Amino acid sequence: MIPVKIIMPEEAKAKGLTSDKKMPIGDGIAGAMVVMKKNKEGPDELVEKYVMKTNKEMELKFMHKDRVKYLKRNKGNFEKYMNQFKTINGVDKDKFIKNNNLIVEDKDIK
Amino acid sequence: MAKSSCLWILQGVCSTSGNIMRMYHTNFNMPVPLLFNGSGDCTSGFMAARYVDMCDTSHALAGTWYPGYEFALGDSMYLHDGPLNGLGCVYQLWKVDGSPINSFNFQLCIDQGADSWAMYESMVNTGIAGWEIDSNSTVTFQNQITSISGDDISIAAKTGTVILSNVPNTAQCSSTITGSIWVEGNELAYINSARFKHKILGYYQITPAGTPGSIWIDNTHYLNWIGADTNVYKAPWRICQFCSSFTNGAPDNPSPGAGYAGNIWVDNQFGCTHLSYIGCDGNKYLAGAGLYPYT
Repeated sequence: MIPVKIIMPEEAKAKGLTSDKKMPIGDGIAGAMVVMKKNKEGPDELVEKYVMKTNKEMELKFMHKDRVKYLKRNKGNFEKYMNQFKTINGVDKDKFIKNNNLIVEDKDIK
Repeated sequence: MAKSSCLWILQGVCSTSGNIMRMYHTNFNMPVPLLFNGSGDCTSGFMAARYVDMCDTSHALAGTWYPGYEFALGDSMYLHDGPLNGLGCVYQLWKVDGSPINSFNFQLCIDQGADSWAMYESMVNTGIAGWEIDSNSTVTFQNQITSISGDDISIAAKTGTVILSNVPNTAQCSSTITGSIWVEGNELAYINSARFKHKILGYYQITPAGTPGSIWIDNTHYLNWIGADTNVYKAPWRICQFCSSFTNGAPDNPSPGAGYAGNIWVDNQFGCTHLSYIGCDGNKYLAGAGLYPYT
């Protein structure tokens, strides 16, 4: 049994007991997207899964190698989409895109 | 190139990996487990279960509803069938009597060939407060996608409605008394960081020889106190803080050590309505009024 010691919020911060880190995205609970490859012979195949953890951080669960090639030709949309995020899978966004060779020639959409 | 959406107003959800989150009648914005960590079973989306769809129902919030409690979770799901290559903006919006109060908007890139399709799901909750729901009203949740560029990936607005009565007064207390904790009758009362007075209705334990108003943390890390009737009461729930951001971001589980055991305070993390304290194991615990969010 431990008697409580009531401390004020400022003291809790001074002691390092709280970071005062507020919920980062208003009242939204992020989201997730899955991409499925159609399969006439059986269940559709899961190609990739994005989890938007906050509006600044994205997690990419899977990426099919063919999918990387596909993204390459859609610079306009893909860059606009990615501009929202600072990190992907915890890696700086620009490094992630560079490491996965996702930025290529400047093509119009379609 | 089919496009469609689904919409629910929910009391809670359960992920396919077993994480459960209740929103209805809980403290504001408690830490959320990995709801989107489930399998790729897309027949029912990412949730193994959606608890109680409240669309087109009426609710009387009488008795035990206080400002700082969540009311419901708006859940949106969008389906795009390739070939589609476009950028859009997702709008998820709560309204009270037609006026927007709470929204979550973001860009969505749909980039699918003819051989694939994509499904996106996200949620936004709302609760009882002066800046959210603060009066008897018709509350609606709306989702839609508007087109920005490329192929048209827009999806028309869809709306769910809930009618509320007996919505409690949402006036806030003075900031000078934030963090106050006391025993009121047989309940543990406190002023949280959102400046709302909350009361924890404890479970009756035993009849002790003790002083009414005493408060302590037991060896299982629950809050206990002695009520005005001299009986011991125990808080109905507590949880060891398992993350530091609302969406379970980088682990930052505060464990300052047993030397801090017993410290109790209100902080501004999450929804600013919980109590924080250090248990005898040196970990930080959260407790509060309302229902347990993780049942």
